[in-house]
Amino acid sequence: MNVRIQLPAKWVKYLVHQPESGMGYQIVDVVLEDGTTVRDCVVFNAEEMEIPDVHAGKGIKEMRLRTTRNGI
Amino acid sequence: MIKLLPSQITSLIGQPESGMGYQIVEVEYQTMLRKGTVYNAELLMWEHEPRTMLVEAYETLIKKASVSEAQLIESIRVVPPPKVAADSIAEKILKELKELENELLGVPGVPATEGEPRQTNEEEIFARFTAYKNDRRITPSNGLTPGTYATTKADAKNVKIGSEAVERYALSDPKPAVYRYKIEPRKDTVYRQGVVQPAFGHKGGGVEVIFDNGTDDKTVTGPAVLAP
Repeated sequence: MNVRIQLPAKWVKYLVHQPESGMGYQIVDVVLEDGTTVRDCVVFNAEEMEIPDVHAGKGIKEMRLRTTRNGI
Repeated sequence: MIKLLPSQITSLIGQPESGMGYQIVEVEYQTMLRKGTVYNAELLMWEHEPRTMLVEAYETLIKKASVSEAQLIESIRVVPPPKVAADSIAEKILKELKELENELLGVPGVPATEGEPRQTNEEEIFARFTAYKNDRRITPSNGLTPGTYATTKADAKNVKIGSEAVERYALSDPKPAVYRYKIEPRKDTVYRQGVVQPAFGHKGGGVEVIFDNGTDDKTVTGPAVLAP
């Protein structure tokens, strides 16, 4: 099940300056601090990200933006 | 230099070439995103590897290339080509006629990311629907940040309530997009226009525009608040 997490200010600042994937959202792949890569996470308003609940408490090490909705 | 796996080769064959016989690619490799060139959809050379190696016969290169490293590749995709210089006037007119024809025939169009760059006319108006009152794509000086989506004024008229915006613009957030911002870009602001593709279980079908360079200060007002 997915949950929404509030992104730390660092990532909000990063995403605000990246293009959107559609109106009001961005699609990203994230690398977590434990090394797990989670693909196709949706971020709303550059501040709230949906992520599987098993990863919810983990820190984000890296974020890569996807600029199209292909595959969704 | 890596010899790709059959599944990776198949994936690349299904993607366009960047030039005759090669593809410029982005590769997810051990959690890193790296760039390279693939020859004949089979032989990957990283960006930093000297091209002088290519003077050797292709068969020799393939034999020398690492096979095991291909297992470490998580994904590989061709980098889209940069937009070419402006079309001739005749080509532009033909494209616009084709778009008009498709519109009249009800043929679904391409998304904004595949649209041709165009420029706003004087006093052209756009709208942006969002579920967030603190829309982060709007700058403190009331412009739009680069890469922000919106829709045309004409298309926005189809949306009376927030949930209609979610369906028409295939918004990822199921919360009703009850905040409607008005965008009045300066004349000649660059944007691309297209049709919202189905996504997230929504039909889409509305008109979408993307302001690749954002819009100037004092071009965004609102929001008007719609019913959910």
